[in-house]
Amino acid sequence: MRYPLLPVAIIGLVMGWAGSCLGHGAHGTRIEGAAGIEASYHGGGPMAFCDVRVYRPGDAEGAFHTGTTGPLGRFAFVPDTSGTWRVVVDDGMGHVAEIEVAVDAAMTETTLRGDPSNRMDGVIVGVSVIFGLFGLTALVRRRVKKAG
Amino acid sequence: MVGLALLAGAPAGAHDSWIDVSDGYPEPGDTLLVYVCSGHYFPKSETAVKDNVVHRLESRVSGYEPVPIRTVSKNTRRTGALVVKTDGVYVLELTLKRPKAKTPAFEARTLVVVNREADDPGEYSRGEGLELFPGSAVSGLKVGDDLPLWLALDGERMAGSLTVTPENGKAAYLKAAPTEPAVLRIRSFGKYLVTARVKGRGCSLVFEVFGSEAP
Repeated sequence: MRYPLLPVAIIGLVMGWAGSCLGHGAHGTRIEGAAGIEASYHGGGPMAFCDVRVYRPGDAEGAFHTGTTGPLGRFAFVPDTSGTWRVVVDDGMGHVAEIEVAVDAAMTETTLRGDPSNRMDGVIVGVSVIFGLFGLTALVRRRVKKAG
Repeated sequence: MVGLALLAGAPAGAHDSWIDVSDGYPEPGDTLLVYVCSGHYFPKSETAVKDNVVHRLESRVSGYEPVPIRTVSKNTRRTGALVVKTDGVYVLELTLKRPKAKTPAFEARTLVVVNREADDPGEYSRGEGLELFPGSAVSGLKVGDDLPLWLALDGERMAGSLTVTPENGKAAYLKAAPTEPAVLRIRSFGKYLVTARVKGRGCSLVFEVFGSEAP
């Protein structure tokens, strides 16, 4: 065979390209379909750092989710069913805001980007690029040697 | 398709917090009941503030270290106890603060005078935080007297709107300035709640006008 390392180089480059395609768009923990609230006092100030309890539609007892508002009094959650959700924000000093959040079916179809299995993509890309470069280097050296 | 959340907001109503005591003019050695109250209608408390927002509650009297006061939630208020051992002005101070917040949400104070001859207006202000304090002695107040009231932040007197709610009587709305205190005309015996709000922070002061309507 005239260029015995050519297949290695081609396979490596193709795998690298494919790997880079798999890895594209895989980033972090972005969640689509979240519902959110913003709680404020009558005076206009945000209910910052307050306790939050989220109740599923028709469930007045056990909170589906708990947390704390941010500095602007905001809180977001990911519903798992459609209906009217109830969010209770409590500052612990006697101020309580109850907010209803209407959730449609589309909001519950949550897509998580950045699947942990895609972490292997980087490894595949790296190995493939190395194989490809080795193949190309060997190819060039062989041609140079032949020309000499 | 992107879903839409329809938010029907129910904003929280503003109300006040304050410290109340079983007796504003006790004798040395007496045990006072201390109440942390919260609500719209002084002196009736409507809500017991939660454990995680009670940042500090202590008693200060000149010449002694501050004494922390432990309270527990009981129905619509928190209750604790304090033994007043010596003559003087006891300033009970409460700071309410959310665990992650940088500044207090509310600072409440009440004045307790043990032996009215030991009353000293110089002890009313601590020079820290947002505070309301009288400019003259409260123990000698009589119906018809005027009481100057100052509003200050970290010791700097400032302008602000004050709401005064007497235990017996109608609320009054006063203005304080950095160089001129609000002036409250005393119209009845009993306890008074004074409140103010500055830049999202609130403060209150409770004091008692000694005496009774029926001599």
